[in-house]
Formats: sequence, C-alpha cells, structure tokens
Amino acid sequence: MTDPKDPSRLLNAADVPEGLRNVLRAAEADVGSDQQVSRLASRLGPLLGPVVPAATGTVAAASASGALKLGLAALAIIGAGGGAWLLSAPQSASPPAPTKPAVVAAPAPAAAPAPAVASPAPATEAAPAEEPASAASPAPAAPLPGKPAPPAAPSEADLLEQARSSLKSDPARALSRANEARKRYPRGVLVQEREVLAIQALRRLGRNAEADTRAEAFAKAFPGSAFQRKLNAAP
Amino acid sequence: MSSKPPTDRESSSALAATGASPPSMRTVFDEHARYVIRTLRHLGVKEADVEDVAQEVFVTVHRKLPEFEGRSKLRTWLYAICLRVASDHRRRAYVVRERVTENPPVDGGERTGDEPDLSLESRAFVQQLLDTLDEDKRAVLVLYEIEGLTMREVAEVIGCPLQTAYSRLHAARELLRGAWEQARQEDS
Repeated sequence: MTDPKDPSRLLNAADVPEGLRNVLRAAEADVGSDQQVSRLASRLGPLLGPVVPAATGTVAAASASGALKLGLAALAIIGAGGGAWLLSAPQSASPPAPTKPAVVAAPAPAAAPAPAVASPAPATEAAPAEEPASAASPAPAAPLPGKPAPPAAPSEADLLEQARSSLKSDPARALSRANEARKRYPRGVLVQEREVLAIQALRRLGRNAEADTRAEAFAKAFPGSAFQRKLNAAP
Repeated sequence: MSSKPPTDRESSSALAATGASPPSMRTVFDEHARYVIRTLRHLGVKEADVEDVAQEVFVTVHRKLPEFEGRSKLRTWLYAICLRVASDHRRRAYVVRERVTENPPVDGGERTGDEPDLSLESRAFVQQLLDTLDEDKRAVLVLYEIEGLTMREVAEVIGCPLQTAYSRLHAARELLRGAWEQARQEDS
C-alpha cells in the first residue's frame, strides 16, 4: 500500500541510520502474540460469533478455541441490518457450557465517569445505576492446577445469551435474565446489548410505558448507539 | 507471519463500495486482532493494559460494525477506533495514576513471558522513543512508519487535513531521530 506522493518510509530510507531502522523493524514485528489473541478471543466470547472455517493460521485457531469451548459457536452475533445480534442467532443455539471462562463481563473497577442509565423498572427490578461498558475488566485468575474450580457465577455473556434465546418464547424470563445481568454486572461490557434485550422483552410483555422510559434512558446514555435503530423498530 | 495487516484488497473483509454486507465480527477479529494489539502498544498503552484496551476496541467494533458501510476502508476505520480508545484510556490511566499511585510502574515490568520474540530492551526502547512525541505526532508516525498506511489514510484516521498530517510526520521524524541520537550517545 503505497502512494507515490508519500515520502519514503524511514524503514526504507537510505539516509536513516541502521540502528534507527532496526528500532522500527522491532516495532513492526511486535504484533500481539498467539496467547494474547487467544485470551482476547476468550474474553470477547460470543461477541465474535461463529468461527470462520476458512480462517487460516494460528490466530484463527487460537481465537476459535475459546468460543468453541463455550458451545456458542452456532451463534450468529451480528445480524444483518443494524446491531441485531441478539435476535439473529438461531433459537437452537447450544446453551453455554458450565465450564465457560466467565471473562467477558467481569465487573470493572471505577473508570471514566459516564452517563448513568436511569432505571425505569419497578422496585422489584431495581438495580444500581450503571455506567456504559468499560472493557477494563481483567480476566479472573484461572484456578490453581489440581484444585477443582469453584462453581462459576454466570457471566454477563451467559445471562444475555439466556435472555436472547428466550426473548420470543418467554419474554418474562428474558427480562429476568437481563435484569440479573444488570445487578451482577452494572458496569459490564455488554450494557447496551443488555438494555436492548430488556426493552424488547418489556415490549413483548406489553409493558410499553416501562419500555419507553427505559428506551429514553438508553438514548440519553448512549446517543448515537448503533442499537438505536433496533430500539426504534417493532419488537 | 507477516507483520503487515491484510490490506482491504487482500482481506476477505473487503467491502469496497459494492453494497456488500459488513464483514463478520469473527473475520475482523481473526484478521486484525494482533495488529490492533501492536497499534495500541505503540500509541502508548502499557503492556499490562493492552488486552483490556483491545477488548474495549473490539466491543466498540461489535457495536459499530452493523453501521460500517464501506465508505472508508475497514483498516482505517479500525485504526480510528484504536486511536480514540487508546486516547481515552491514556487520559483515564493518567487520572488514576495521579490519584492513587506514587510509584509509577517500570516500563516493561509487566511482561508475561508469552509475547513475541522481542527483547524487553527493544520494546522498552521503542516505547521510550515514541514517548518523546506528543499524542498527535505519535499517532501520525505510528500509522505511517509502523502500520504502513498512506498519508491520505493517516489524515483520514486522524481527522485532519492532509497537509497537517505531513507537517506532523516531518516534526515527528525530527524528534524521533533526535531522541534516537541522544539515546545512542548516552549508551556509548
């Protein structure tokens, strides 16, 4: 990728000291390692969607392994037409495996101030005010070798997958799962996705006033969100 | 393994202006994750934070991907997200450090042992040199000299006029050379 009008890159310029060019070569070679990419894939979990069979190289293999373990490979995360990831997955998607690394949605430490989404839900669904996603949640440490892993709490992604899969058949359960995610992960990385699900579930339950209130709070907290179109559409 | 990310022509995620659907999240991740990590490092994200910030980049990608219409190249779009997320992170990290940390971490001390075969000294030295640049010049230098974008693409990612990008590149190169010369003299 070159443009003839561009100056020669330092890496190729004859008048640049070899030592400096070596520095730039080292910088160019310093890509993410397979392990880093694999860990990142595990953290992102179902957000990545199904593994691309034709993907080549160790990166694809490494990043695919995490999602495969989750039993979520059949999920189509990104739906055609505007952020409909939670609705686009086939209803027959496998349930999350219990050994899934709960990484995507670890509660984040306090990060940058952010607009809170007001909770329009009734008292029984009340949850702490929340902040938009902060992805600065480090992955929980793996259990020590030889020791049984403690029963993992459902991750944010697990809860939202449960909400997504029951949205059409059991919107009350979908709402319950979304609200559970709000309680457990008020600053999770999937706050927008969770709110979209909750609003859609409320609409399906005929609780339109609550849905509208929550949708307004969403619009204020996340102006310009890609999910806005989804919210404006029919449930 | 190439140290260059796939160009949009090479990439299966190429959209062009054909009305094709956006690439899948998986495709974007598989093709670009390791380069996103590299870019974030060079934009000043510390190694201990780089995976967290990369996660933030891909969560943003996930949210915005359905809106990606191919008016810009996928690569430049991704770099723009990296730039914004890294910038936000640095500001947050600065605030947190100022508030709670009296002893700043030593560069490179967070090495986990599974990074590419690159000496700690090399990485620390690259960062040391890049740290001499302000945010604007650093971004231009990283995108052009390391990531291999054209200057037109750099200007698009940064969101500045092409001539401004050229000026920043010129200044960044001068500063980089000066910092390298100084480090070399101090080392000898």
